Amino acid sequence: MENNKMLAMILAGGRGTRLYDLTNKTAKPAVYFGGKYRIIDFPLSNCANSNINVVGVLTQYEPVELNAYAGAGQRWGLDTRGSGVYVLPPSEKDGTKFGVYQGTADAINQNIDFIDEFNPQYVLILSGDHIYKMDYDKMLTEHRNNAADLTVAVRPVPWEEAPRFGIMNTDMNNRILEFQEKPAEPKSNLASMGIYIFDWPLLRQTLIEDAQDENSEHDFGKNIIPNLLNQQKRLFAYNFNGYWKDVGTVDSLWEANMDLINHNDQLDLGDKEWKIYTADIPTLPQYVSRTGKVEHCYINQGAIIRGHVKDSVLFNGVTIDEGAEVIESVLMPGTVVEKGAKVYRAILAEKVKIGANAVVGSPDSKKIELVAADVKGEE
Amino acid sequence: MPNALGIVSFTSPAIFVRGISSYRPVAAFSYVGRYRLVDIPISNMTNSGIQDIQVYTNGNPKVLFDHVGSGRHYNINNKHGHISVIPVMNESMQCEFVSDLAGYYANLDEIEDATNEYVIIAPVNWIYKANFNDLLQNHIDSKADVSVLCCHYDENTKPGNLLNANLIVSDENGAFKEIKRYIGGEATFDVSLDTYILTKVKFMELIKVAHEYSPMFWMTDLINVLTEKGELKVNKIPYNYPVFPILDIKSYYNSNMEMLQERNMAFFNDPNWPIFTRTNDSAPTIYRGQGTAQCALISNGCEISGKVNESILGRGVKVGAGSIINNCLILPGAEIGENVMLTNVIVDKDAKVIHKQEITGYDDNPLYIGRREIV
Repeated sequence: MENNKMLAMILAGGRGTRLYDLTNKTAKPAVYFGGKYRIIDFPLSNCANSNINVVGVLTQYEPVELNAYAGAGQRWGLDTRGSGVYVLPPSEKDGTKFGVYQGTADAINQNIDFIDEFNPQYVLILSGDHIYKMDYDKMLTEHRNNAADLTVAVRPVPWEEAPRFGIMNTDMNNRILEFQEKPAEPKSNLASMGIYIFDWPLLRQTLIEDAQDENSEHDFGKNIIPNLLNQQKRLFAYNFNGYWKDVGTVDSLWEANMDLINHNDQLDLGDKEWKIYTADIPTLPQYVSRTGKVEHCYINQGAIIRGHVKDSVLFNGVTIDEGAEVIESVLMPGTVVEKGAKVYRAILAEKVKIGANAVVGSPDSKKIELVAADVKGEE
Repeated sequence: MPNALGIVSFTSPAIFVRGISSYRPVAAFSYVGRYRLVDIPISNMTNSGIQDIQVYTNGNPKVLFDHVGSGRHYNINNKHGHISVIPVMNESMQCEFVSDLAGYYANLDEIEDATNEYVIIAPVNWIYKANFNDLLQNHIDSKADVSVLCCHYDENTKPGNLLNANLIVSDENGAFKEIKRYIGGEATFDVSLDTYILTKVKFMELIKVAHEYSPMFWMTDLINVLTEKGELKVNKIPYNYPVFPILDIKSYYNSNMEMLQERNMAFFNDPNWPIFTRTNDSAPTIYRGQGTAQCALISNGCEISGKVNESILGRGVKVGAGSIINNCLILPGAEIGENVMLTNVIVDKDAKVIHKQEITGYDDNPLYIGRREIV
């Protein structure tokens, strides 16, 4: 808190229903990405790299795994004096009924006491399910320079996709004039990334008022931002042009993984100036045996490769046996592809076993196969 | 969980690895890409439940302070466990010829303060995987004063030439007689893994006795003198699993390369007995373009656009397009440019091979490229 008077709150309560079996037992922010990471490593590492010391993680759906994971703040260097990662599931409070978080704004509203304890000047609201690298400190500088009440990070999207997003219409100075939630006829292609910097006293007051409004859905996009616009507050857009991906579907999760092995990988996880931190799992380096062959891959330590792997992302503890073939696929931790099995254009969930000579997916399928249960082999 | 103080010992000046030794103590040598040698004894100790560890070092300790740190990455509980790195030096702040026992003597107070009943001493230059609980039980059952871990070999089974290793000589009844420098010649023999187990009381006594004899006495010297006088009973504990020595540059190279054998890799790739090390938070390794690997151990953070065969790559190594790496040990951060052919070469940390197109070492004598050198 001493660094920049900004506290971050990560909204990590989403279930991610379009990831199907990947989120049956785990929250979307805990889903694996990029050979060694979980999605929530990105906002947490961005916070750590942006000099933010205190991060609240708002969990709700299947929180146990995520709580245990995010609570270990030392992974991201967020455990020194004055720092911390605080896991904040809905909790019973004096005078209110124990409930769930009703909306994104309600999740923050229910944790006003937590935020007040740190007495921040600014609160950064983040989403726990996006893949990107961003310096929030730069965004804060712009927020201060604009003497803004709220700054919303935006990125240009293709015009034809604009109707799927919250669109910001701005003037020449990036001041937001109008906000359209999923407009049929967008006036701009600047989409909100769900990243907000608020002045805390204003947000605090707005949340308390919103909580009493029975017609409100208690949502930042639907209620809080339109309210502030109506009050003629100073809302500014912060332009972000780097890599950003919402990995909300099986296809987009697969694509984001494949982006890492493309030649023009914009995310660049190897950037020493902006490392993404994650759990440290002690394993040997990746082992490619005499019968193994790897081409055009992204592979973590602890993988054992005795078969042929091409255009794929492999996590720690993956084993690919002799004669097996893995093409254009993402293999999450501990998966095993036994002898002679073939895996094409698929995501294998954690610890899934593909039996000997079994075939999963198809080389020319448009659809990405999600495999969340063991596949029996043939002898 | 053994009530033992773990001591990671250092090597005598007889152990010298050409090139590599110029830059760091043996404990800090890179091993199998992502480890340093000190990780092996520490991991054996913490996996065995030992939580109090002292790492003695007779070289520039800078890199070890950084690497060992608080010990949390070795699974040492930061409340009721403790690891410390202790540099040894004589009165004129030199460390080259300080013996292990002299190093312990200088630290006698801290050893005395340790509440552990036993002491387990393990070296940094023998790679093995051992549960110290079992070894300690063997020691206790033997009722000996000191136990020493040893491996039985013959000419065909010995790992490398073993020159400069310590040989354990037994009497006609098979009982321990003495330790001497191995120079070859015996048909079958026992090699000491320089691993000792004894009570803390005995350990303290030996350190003090050694100091009276000579401050230049090593543990091996003292054991020989006291055994000959009939004042010490030594127990041999046989060890029958894979062992890799680091005694000179060839054995250093070979002991890395041995890990490419599937059976050795599988033996050490044990989720129940992990080798811990300090994370560098590197991204996974990327294979670009025509980049590929076969029979290789490759650490994270590498960018591979060439061909890697029968080689080990440390963290963050770059291999350029068109390059071919055969039988090489590439230490962390090294860069191999484009269209370079390397065979039987050790490339030290952060070195660059960008100008020379072909470098070949001998099969039995790898060529060494120094730290931060540009070739």
